[in-house]
Amino acid sequence: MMDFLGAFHPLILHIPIGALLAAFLLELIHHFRKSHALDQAIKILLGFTAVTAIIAALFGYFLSQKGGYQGVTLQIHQWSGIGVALLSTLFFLLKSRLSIQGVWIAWGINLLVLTVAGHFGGSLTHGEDFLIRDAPGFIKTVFSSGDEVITNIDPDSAVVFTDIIQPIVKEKCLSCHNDSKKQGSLDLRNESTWRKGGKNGDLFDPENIEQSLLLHRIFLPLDHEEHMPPEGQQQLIPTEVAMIEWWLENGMPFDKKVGDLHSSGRIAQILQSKFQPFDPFEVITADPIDESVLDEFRSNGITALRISQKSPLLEVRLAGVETIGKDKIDLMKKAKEQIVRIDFHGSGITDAELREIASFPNLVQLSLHQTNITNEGIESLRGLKYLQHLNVHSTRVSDESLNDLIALDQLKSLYVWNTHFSSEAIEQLKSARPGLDLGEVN
Amino acid sequence: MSTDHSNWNRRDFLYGLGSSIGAVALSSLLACDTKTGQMVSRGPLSPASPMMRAKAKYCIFLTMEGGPSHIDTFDPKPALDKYHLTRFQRQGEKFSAMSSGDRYFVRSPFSSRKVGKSGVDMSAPFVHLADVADEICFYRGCQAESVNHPTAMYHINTGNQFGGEPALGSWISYGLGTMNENLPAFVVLPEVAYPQGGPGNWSNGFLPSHYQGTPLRPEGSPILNINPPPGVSRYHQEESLELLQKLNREHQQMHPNHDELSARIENYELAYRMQMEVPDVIDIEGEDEKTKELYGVGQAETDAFGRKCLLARKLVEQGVRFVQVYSGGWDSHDFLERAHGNLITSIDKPIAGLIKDLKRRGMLDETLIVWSGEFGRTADNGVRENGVAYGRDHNPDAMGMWFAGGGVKAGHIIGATDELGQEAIDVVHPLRDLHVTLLHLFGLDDNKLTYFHGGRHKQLSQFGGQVIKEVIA
Repeated sequence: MMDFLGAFHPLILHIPIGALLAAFLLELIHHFRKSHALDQAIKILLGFTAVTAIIAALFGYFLSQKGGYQGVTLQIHQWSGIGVALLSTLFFLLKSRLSIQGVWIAWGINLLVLTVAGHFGGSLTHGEDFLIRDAPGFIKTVFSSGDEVITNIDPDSAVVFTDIIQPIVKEKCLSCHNDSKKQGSLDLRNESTWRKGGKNGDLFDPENIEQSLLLHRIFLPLDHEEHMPPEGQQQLIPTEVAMIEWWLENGMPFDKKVGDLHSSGRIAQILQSKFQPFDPFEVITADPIDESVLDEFRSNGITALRISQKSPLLEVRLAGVETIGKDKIDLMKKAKEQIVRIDFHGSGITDAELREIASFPNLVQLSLHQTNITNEGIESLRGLKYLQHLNVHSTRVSDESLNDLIALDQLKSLYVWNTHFSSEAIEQLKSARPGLDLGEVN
Repeated sequence: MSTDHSNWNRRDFLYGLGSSIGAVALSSLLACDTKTGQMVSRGPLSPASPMMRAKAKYCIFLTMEGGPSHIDTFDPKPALDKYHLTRFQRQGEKFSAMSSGDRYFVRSPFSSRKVGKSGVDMSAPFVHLADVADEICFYRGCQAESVNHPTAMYHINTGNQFGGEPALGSWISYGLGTMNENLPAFVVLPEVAYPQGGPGNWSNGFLPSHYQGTPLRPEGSPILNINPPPGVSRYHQEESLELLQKLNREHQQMHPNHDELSARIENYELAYRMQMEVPDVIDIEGEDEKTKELYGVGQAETDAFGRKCLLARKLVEQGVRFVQVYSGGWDSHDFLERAHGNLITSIDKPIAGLIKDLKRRGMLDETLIVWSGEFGRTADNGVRENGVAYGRDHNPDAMGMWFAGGGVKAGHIIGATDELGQEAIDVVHPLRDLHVTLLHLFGLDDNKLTYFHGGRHKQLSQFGGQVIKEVIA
């Protein structure tokens, strides 16, 4: 019977919310246009709120007894829900005795408690992040739920165990399951101790993954004696549980990378939000460039565009321009900080000119293919700490540049087709900088 | 929408008068946000910044006209082996002529295998494309609407089945301009026979005429009369062109809102500039032998399409924004094995060559390649030729397409069709969502890239759509 009534909690609870808000609306109208009828209506609505709130709280209690909900969220929801029932009853009974000021304060308290109860109730049914799940990015950053974002790692090349699972374990499990404390004879420090399991056996059961000890303990109700992490300790959040479950479903591999495992739907979403590859455009700051400078560029044959309409950063195209010349370079220096990409391909750029360009501190992409630049020009690029993409195909650049290129920390792609590089040098480059895109297929 | 009030014509005036409260303020606010305002002061094809940061700057759209079979290319359906030649009857209501009556299922004449590290599916005739499988993002969830070639072609090319609207290439040029003002922003490389629906497939529609696609002829001189006739020097030409332009401008003064006229003036100037640039760009003989071989140029089966792919690369390299390359004849209602087999062979090496070439030149990141027909094909066929000329009918409910470069998720298969390939069932999106996604890859927001015409702000997707997030890296 209790379960049956509990099921009506999500239905009933909306009635006191609506009634209280309606009463508040009438109160506002009443404030400006006093009327006896309104006053009566407010009283009726408040009484109605009190009765329905008590029923909702009672049904809510039944529902919570059924299990499936747990944690601090439930606690807050439960007490604020009871608070709504209690406060609205008191308000209904004592309203006529309150001063005008007292009435407004009582309204404030009632609405605040109602909001808290409602919000945490929503979090219980829809998940903690239900309000911001589909919010625009800027809101998400403000309210991000403390889910740690891993930067500087390309998601597909992250190792699932070391980069995702172990950080969760470290934060929430390792304080009890380490080599000195070893609760339940379980140590979760590394792969070999994971494999050993604890006194209750292996954590992972390949025959019946859903019933694996690890998942079983996590999914037990919070007040269950065997629930992990134990009640009172910091609990796993839903995304962490999802990650652990996904890892086990894939056979609890210790060396597999994210890219090796199949991920879709919610898992893919979590993974995507978890990793943030290094993005220089997020780091580079520059003052907005004056529109007149861009006009000056244009009238001097320099195509300059913002990388997006609202960004201060610029990309410049001088492809195919026979002589670059001092004038253009001096002009570009006006936007030294803002220029992040330059395309010089097929132009007459010289090593000396490139040396000047290399003093632009924020260059991320430089296209120098099909030009006359040589190793000497490449040498001058050494200090460019954001340079990610360098294209020198069809130039005379050769093995001598190898060390200068390896020294470019952020380099992600380097196009060296049709240059004077020897195949040994290319091999050296590959081993020094694995993962560098050299424009080869496969 | 011009903000220069001296240029207001009758319509602008009436529109402003009728909607002066609120609407005018709103539309001028919108105009600041889109790039329209800034274009007016700089010439319609000047390069413009994207609305959002984006990887793709150029597009090579490989259009397989006629409707390639997803089942016999990149979406194998082994279940069809079981039902091969099983006869049945169907009362098709929506597509009666195409799919009702006596029918049988048809298995693929080609075997299929998993290729690349990513293990994506390709049918046996794709030999070279397998080399670049890990660069490709296959999408199986798209659905077209029309079963008829011309309307379906208009739909995928212009976002509207009825034709007369701007093509995707026109919208992108409108949004971003061109990187090389000596060449058209939008170039089309058709077959000798134009696709069904004709030049409407690369029309500028209601956008200013500067944004129309320029077709280059596949045989003979790509652009007729690009070289001045013998005896006419560049100086003579310049003089007469100047006179012509002067007269045209005088005429234009009297008709300031005649955009065909301003496009005509612009076209004369562009043609003059093109005389300098075009002969070099379209001359693929200057490419080294190895590169030509990479594209299959000089080999009978691949020469025609190989040349177009190589030309597409050269055009993009010179800053042309959008190149559409046509391969025709994919409408295999019968003799599927021979017809699709030959066509696949004709595009296989050239496309693989194109991807390899763009990749080594560092251009693939910035160039979005799209491969698609106007719809997919059915798993079954109407009984004909007594059951020996196996083929497939048109199928708008399922189709195959893929993307490479330009910020898509390489080496992935996104979405799925049902067991027989009759209908898309996972990550299902209508064509308008594809259009929104393609614009998004170029940093353009379909809802902001609008043009005021016929009393409302029109957009490629017609009325908005969703970005297919799954295909974006």
